[in-house]
Amino acid sequence: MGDRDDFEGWARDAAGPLFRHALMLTADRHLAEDLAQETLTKMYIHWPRIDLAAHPLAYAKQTLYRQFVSGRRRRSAAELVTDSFPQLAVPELDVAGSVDLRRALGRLSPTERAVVIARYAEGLPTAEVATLLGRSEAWVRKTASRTLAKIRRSQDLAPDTERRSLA
Amino acid sequence: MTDPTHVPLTPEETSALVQRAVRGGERRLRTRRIASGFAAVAVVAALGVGALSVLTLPGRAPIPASPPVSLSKAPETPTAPIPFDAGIQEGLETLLLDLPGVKAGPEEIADERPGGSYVAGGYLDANTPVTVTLSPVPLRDGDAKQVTSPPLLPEDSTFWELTDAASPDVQVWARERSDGATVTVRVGLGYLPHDEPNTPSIPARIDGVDVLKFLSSDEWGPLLDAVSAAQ
Repeated sequence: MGDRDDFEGWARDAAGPLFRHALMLTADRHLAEDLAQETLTKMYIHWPRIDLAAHPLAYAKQTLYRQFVSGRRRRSAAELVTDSFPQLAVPELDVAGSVDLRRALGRLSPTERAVVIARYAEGLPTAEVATLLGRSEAWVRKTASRTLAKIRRSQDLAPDTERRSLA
Repeated sequence: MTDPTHVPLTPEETSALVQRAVRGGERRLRTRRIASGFAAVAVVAALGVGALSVLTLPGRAPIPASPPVSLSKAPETPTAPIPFDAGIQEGLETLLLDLPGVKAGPEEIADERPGGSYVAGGYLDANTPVTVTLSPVPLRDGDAKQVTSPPLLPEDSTFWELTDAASPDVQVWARERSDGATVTVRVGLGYLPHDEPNTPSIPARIDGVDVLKFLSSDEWGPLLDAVSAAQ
């Protein structure tokens, strides 16, 4: 079990990886910081009950993904709600293709984005994505398939982009 | 190509992030302690019969907290008015957003609720409301289906999946603790006719497993303690 005095040391090490995941999901540096901070806050609250031998970073990542999908907002934050989604960070893509893909990904719901990022950008197996999001493997397979079809139909995508990026 | 937005946190930013998280965590823990402390010292003295009032969300159709439908189990009416506690209300609203897929309503509800019960509302999608009710009193007797399957239900509680013959679109679950305190999750519009403005033709559904995990969370403990002790 964790002692709150030990939390800060762990959090400093975990903040970087969590921020990277948050950035992939939100594609916005400020939103990513908010998401990482909210995740660390939850970890702090539950820290005494967390088994440190059982990979707390994995637990934190699960918390972060679920937090993103639930669309939770910190009440104190003066956030600007928009109907458009900013660019989504997907590394190692060609410029034109990545811009198109980001635009297409930006039109997905948070749940769909989380599935696509976890399954294809992070390359996690279906079972791990299911655990991450608290869903069944069948649900993940169905959502991933439906979301890919949605991306393929996206008018934002150049004909070859999706095949090159997500195949 | 490296994405220009994909720049890692600097050590200073990391430190600031961790500090903000710790402060936020401390603040929330303090709020919970206050809620629990309130419950421990609350003196309840008054007569009267409380009833859940109609919950109205801005720009939406009204959602009755005690709708005219025939649930086989339903919350009993508390017998004494209970002082309203903002900490419990805030805790309930915060926990509501832990339910997968649920977003806060267009305006968070902070009105006083009579009878010691607290209600928080959100939305599953644009049209499907989700209401969570925290009550100090047990459910009425009935023939609701008891949930006994996993996920790991706390032993101090009984879990129910409530049926509503009059409104099959409505999904209702409840956690009833042995001391009578209950949490009820209601998803859907219920009694409203489907030709009502803003009423969806096919309301969104929620996964029962998610609701059971949500109701099983040990974060309910302090809130259930609070309403139970105040009763």
